[in-house]
Amino acid sequence: MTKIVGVEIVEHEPDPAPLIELVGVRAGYGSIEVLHGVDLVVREGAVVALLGPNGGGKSTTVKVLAGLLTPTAGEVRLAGRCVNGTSADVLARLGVCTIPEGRGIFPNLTVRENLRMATQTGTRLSRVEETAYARFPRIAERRNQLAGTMSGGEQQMLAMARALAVDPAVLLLDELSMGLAPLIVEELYELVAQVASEGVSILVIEQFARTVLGIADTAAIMLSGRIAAVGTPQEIEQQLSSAYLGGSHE
Amino acid sequence: MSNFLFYTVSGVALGAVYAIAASGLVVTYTTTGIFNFAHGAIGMFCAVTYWQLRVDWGVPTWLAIIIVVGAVAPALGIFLEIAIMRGLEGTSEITKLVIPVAVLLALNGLATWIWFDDPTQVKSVDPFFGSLSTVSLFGQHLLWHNVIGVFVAIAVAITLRIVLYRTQLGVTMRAVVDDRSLVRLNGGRPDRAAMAGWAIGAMAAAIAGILISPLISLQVLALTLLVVDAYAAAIFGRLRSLPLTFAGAIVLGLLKSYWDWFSAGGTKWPFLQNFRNAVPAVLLFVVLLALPQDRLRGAVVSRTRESFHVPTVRQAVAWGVALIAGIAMLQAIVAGPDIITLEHGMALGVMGLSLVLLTGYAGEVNLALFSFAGIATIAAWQFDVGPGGNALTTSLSVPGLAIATLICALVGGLVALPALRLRGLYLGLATFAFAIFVLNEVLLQSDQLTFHQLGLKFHLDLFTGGTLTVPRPNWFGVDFHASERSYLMLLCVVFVLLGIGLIALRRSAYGRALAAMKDSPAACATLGLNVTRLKLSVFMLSAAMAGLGGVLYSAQLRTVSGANDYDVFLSLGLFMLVVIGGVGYVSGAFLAGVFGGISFAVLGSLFDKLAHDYASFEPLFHFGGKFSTLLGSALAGIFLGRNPTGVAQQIMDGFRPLARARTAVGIWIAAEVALWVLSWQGPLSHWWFAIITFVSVFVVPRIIMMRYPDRFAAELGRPAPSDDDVPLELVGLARPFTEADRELFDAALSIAASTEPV
Repeated sequence: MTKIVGVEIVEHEPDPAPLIELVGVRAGYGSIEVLHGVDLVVREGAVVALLGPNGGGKSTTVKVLAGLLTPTAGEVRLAGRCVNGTSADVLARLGVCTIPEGRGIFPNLTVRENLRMATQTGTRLSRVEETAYARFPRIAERRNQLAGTMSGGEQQMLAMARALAVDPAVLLLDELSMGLAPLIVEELYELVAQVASEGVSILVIEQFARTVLGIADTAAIMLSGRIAAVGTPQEIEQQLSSAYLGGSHE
Repeated sequence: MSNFLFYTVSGVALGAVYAIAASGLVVTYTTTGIFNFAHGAIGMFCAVTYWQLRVDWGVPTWLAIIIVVGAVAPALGIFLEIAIMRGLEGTSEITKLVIPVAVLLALNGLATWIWFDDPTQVKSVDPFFGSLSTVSLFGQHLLWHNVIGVFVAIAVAITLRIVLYRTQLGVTMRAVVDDRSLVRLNGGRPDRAAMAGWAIGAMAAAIAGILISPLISLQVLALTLLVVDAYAAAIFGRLRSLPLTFAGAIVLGLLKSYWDWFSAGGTKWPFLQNFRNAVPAVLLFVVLLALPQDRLRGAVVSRTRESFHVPTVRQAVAWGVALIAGIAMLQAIVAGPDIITLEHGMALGVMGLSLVLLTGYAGEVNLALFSFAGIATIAAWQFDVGPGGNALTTSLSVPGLAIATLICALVGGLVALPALRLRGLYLGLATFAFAIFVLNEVLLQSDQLTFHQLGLKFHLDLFTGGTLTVPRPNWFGVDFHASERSYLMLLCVVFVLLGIGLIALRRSAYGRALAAMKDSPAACATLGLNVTRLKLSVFMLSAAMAGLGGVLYSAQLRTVSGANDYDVFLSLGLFMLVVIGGVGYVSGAFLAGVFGGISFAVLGSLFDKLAHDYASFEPLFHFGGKFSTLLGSALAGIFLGRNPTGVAQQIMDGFRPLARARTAVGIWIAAEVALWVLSWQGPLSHWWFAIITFVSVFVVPRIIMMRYPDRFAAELGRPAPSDDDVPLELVGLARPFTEADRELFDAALSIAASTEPV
């Protein structure tokens, strides 16, 4: 039984082992601290949605998890091992796959060359291409086009394709919906749900919550550099408006 | 027809070498985002190493090539990347320009130290298979060396294409430019890619250096300028496309070759005899003007923190008076030759002020400062002395100085025309191209220019005889010609007046507009500011200041040589030193003068004196002397150029807290004045005065702080008695963020007090 800011959840089954854990993580940029002690768990095969308004520290949390930012205090654990200070490329090769905020692609490389970048983790190019084109036939047509010249939705598909082709253990998705048409966002999240059903642990970060809550097992609200609430998607949905509009979220 | 064939084939051969050099430049730029100003210098360094192996040590040619291209060049490239360039990620564009310039100067200094007595000395190296070994093609006898050059260029082109587009390493190298952290998120290693970029760039520079040194001359300066030829070619492909870069290189090679043909080797039109060397610069200018450029970029907001503190005019006047008093006291106790050193530093400082306006305030770049100085000097000389005049009996007049300044403003305006479209790097290189043009077409015109071939009767003296004797002023009844001390004070007063003027300008509406333009030209345009007019005006104003400073600099030297005293590398050096000093500050220009004109010269002569006095340690002191004169400023640039706000601000930040102990500072200054009086009157030797002053600058502030621990708690690293005076919004910046603050903020923002782990 866990106490979460006034909400009590009764857990019926033993939980799968945590794959990613943040324990009291503090991090920031220079002398400005952004995360003031974040505790978060992503269990094996679970989809966790991290929600909250702008400036709450969601993207900073992803940066810490991805190895782009070293925490100043606390621990980041990957499958039980502390990975504080491990660089992003090592984590990527260990199976932590991140699609950063904005378009996670290289605009001046062709689609094919973008996919080639995914082979750094050891997967063969032919296999990466095969998986990517099977999932997204639309980008297969554009394989020799410069990625930066594609539409926003296609670019995000390419980013997803590249990430999924390497069979990641954990997928970190930062603001997948940013600047995209609702239909495309829906399409992308259907895919995320499909990937989740294949057993990949996923941490999704979104400002626009409702789409994500549909696919998440657990959701958390992040406010002012701290996790303000954790619960089932239904519980969190009730607290969302107060979280975004300010005031109490008890 | 046979002439056409001959010059075409020679042009292609020359173009092939440029293509190799240019492709190296493009590879480094596209993979690291740094324009390697030292590209030519790396080529030069490798070419001289090749000379050392092949000519001096008699190593077989093939082995020498393998050692230089396969080992020395990539090692040099990788060393530069690891030791210097890696730290440049995320720094300002000015820093990315200054550090490679410092590397260029360092490599030049090192090569001069090891292999040459002076940078203009020439070594000779034979073409491959000797200068008599030719092959016949289309009825033309071609050197085997040139044929090999063409084939090597083709091989380099194919190899680079395969490496960059077909290999994992190449794709990663290109990906790093797009998004370095995304490469890491993909499991790639950006540092390795950058190292490969530098290694390949250096190898290309080495091949080009080895191929071109038998064709031109193996000389430090000429080979270093290969970067301009390479850049002119690379700009065809906008520093990105390799095929267009190769095309540009061939065009450049052909243009040079055809110019040789039309001008009969430069003899047909004497006034254009050096034009061959200016061809790349002219081509560069034309291409820069013709190419479409990104006009206003508002989205790219500088992510570096360069905040320059602008003093008030009253503060500026106070500092100005203090500087004049300080220099007056200093000149009273130093000997004659040292006065000239001080003068030189002060003159450089005056010239450096124009960069404070242009680069510090407006964010534009000018790498042709000494070219403006040269132009202004010629103008002032023509006005006051003229051909046949005697500079020793004439003096520099105010109208002469005014006309020189005005001409520089106009020329500055002409140069600025491309600047209206260009920014940062492109602009810097355009001004550097202008400097090379002026060097070849104006400063090296050692013969009287006649235009009979064009049917014109008049003739013109620019730098006839190679040197000019520049008059000094005779103002306010003071003959600055006779007294070095008075001239030093004149330079000091001019510096102070210009400095105060600059600060007043910066604090005016015009200055604010400049600062706004520096931050975001696009935002300026949307506010209704005429960015075009603003840029043009600031460039003209800065060129005028460079001209004014330039005439005073030339008059300080008294006799100036067109080839040596306005060298393009001097412009690079001064630009670097002003950035080190602090390009946003008047004091930054002063420090540039101190670094460039005084400190390394003083160090050099100090080591010479020591070597003379202590003969047993002569090699050691000799080494120190060479080190400080040849490498001192370049190494200062490499180590200090990274600080975006410069040394001036660091020094000021160190002394600013002392305002809290005014009495103690007053006593310190009084003690210094007393020591000066002792030194002036004789009891205390000048050396002791200098040593005590130097040490006190470091020690006394510390003593004052320790005397008043309560007032300087933060500086002494002790907990402050009370932090209540730190405003809430500065918590985390002015002092560390604590648990108490967290609770305070939580309460204020009504955030739940604590959250337990899930």
